[in-house]
Amino acid sequence: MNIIELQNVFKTFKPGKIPVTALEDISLQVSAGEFLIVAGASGSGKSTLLNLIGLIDEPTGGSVTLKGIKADYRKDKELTRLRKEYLGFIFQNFNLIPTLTVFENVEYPLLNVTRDVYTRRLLVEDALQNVGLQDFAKRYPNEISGGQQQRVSIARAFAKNPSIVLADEPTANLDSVTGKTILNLMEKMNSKKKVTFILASHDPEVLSMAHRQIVLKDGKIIKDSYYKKRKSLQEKKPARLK
Amino acid sequence: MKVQIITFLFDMVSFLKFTVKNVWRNRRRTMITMAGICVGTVTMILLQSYVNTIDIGLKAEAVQKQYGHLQIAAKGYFDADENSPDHMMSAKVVNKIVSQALSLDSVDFVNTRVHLTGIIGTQKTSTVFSAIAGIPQAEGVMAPTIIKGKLLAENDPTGILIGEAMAKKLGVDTGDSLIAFVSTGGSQEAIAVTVRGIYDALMPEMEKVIIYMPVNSAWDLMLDKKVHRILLFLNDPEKLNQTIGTMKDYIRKNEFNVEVRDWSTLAVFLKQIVGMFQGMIMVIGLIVFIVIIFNIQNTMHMAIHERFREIGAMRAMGSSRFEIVKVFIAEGFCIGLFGAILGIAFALIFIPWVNSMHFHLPPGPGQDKPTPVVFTPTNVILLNSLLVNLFTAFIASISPAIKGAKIRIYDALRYV
Repeated sequence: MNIIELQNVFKTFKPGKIPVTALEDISLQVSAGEFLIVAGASGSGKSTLLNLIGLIDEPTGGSVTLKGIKADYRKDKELTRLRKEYLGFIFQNFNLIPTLTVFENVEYPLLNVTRDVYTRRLLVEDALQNVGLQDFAKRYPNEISGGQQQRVSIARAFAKNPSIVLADEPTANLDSVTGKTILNLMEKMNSKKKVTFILASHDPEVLSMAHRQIVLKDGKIIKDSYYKKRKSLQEKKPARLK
Repeated sequence: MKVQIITFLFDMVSFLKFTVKNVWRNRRRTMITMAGICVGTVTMILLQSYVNTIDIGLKAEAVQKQYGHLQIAAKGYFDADENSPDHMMSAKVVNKIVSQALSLDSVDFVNTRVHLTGIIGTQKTSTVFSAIAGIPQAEGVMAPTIIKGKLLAENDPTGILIGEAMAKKLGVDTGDSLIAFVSTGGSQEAIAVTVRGIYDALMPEMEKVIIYMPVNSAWDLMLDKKVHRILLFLNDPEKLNQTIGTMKDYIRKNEFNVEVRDWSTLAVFLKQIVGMFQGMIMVIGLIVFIVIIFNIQNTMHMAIHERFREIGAMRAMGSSRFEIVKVFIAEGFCIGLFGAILGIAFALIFIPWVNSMHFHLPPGPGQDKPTPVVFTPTNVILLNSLLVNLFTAFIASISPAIKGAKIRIYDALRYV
């Protein structure tokens, strides 16, 4: 079953007088539980594609369907509901709140998910356990490393049990060892919780983990590859299916 | 239901915790904003407390020195605005009404007053006077401050009180004799009086004209025992309406051609003065209100500006626009609440200190004594200040909060 479906999606920006086409006629289907990597050079449209899938930007043309629901950009409430129920975000620069503890950073977005403080506590504890940060719950973001901050960001994305997690360059601000740890963590979440992952990256370490990899160039999909078996982080060569 | 309430309360506590933490992110800015609100709150409390002091003082003065709690007079007297002999009550009616009033538990004492105008003087000089004649015992309570001599007395029917300014003008002192002339019904009547006491009033103009005399002396001058007004003083002001009702019933039953008025309807000047002060407070309050609005709005705009990315992240993670609005309004509300509480605390510390310093304002127009600066805060004033601040904070936060909620997620996340 396709959890995400993009049909003939166009996205044009108008930063000045001349419009810039970021995405051109993109059609894409993503199945539940996939670990999809969106690859491509800088400016190829990776982040734009993720923003459209995450319903945080509106396409100029075409349609985005999430869990069978076609996004109607005139209905902000409906988009908010879809984001709340199905989507989790992992940001490149973590976007943690410096004055809140690790626990509170994960709890904060849950205020709008459940009013039950006890349920919230359980969700946060579970999420922190999953990323191995249960002992850092009372620390503040500036008291933990960059890798740990990204793990908090992952815990925050996972706390509400989303069906889809979108991560834009999740390892870009991390060193290679920490980046690998983060990727392993995502891989674990993907296989354990069957969460659909869509990652935008041009990091070779990330690319090697893909179930599926699409490559964007100048806003167009130039390659869409499925892998029989996910490679370990050491294996580099993908076996192309189609 | 109980579980839902507990869940709601815990959720509110949790929400408040995040709100306080967010407010406290930029401590210096929050402190400056709260200081502004605090100053505004203290200003409002001081102004309201001062007007309250004036209000209490004037009311007490009006009841005790001028009107009593309620008055009874011939129909038309109150509206005629002059002490004409045409609007006087006969001795028979007065005696019956006074007896009835004194039979009521709520009535402490009664005074009957006659007003006369005439000329008073010595062999050398004279001046016009307006006499307030009453029962000496009651006038003892109503009399202004005596600075020399004694109050009116039953056993001294010719003893009068004159103002300090009149005493100076006539060159008389206590114990000196004067002649009072009154024109009644086409003939001139005169009696010899003695200065029994000299009083001090706030306004010298009053001291120059008003004299107090026993009602018997006034009757001697008028050659009649009529009365302009009957003043009733209650032992419990709470029983005012009940007493008015009883007296009105009695008057109706006996078909007396008189009417009853309570002090508040007679003390028009009091309403005007208090109204004037309240108007001033309204204007100053409005200025404070606007300053606080700009203060909080500025803080909230800056907070939102700093937190664009966070708003974007929150929205991306499923927060609705309303939820973003709620967060920022709660933060503005929180600043308003803390600022107001701080202001109230300061006012409660500051007011007793100022009161103990016995500050005075220069004499007002027509007055010769400085006015003491005393603040009398009440719970209503404090609560009022708190609520006005909370309302102001709420109003001030709406526009920045909506602005924050309207940011496009995509733009917010890209904001550097």
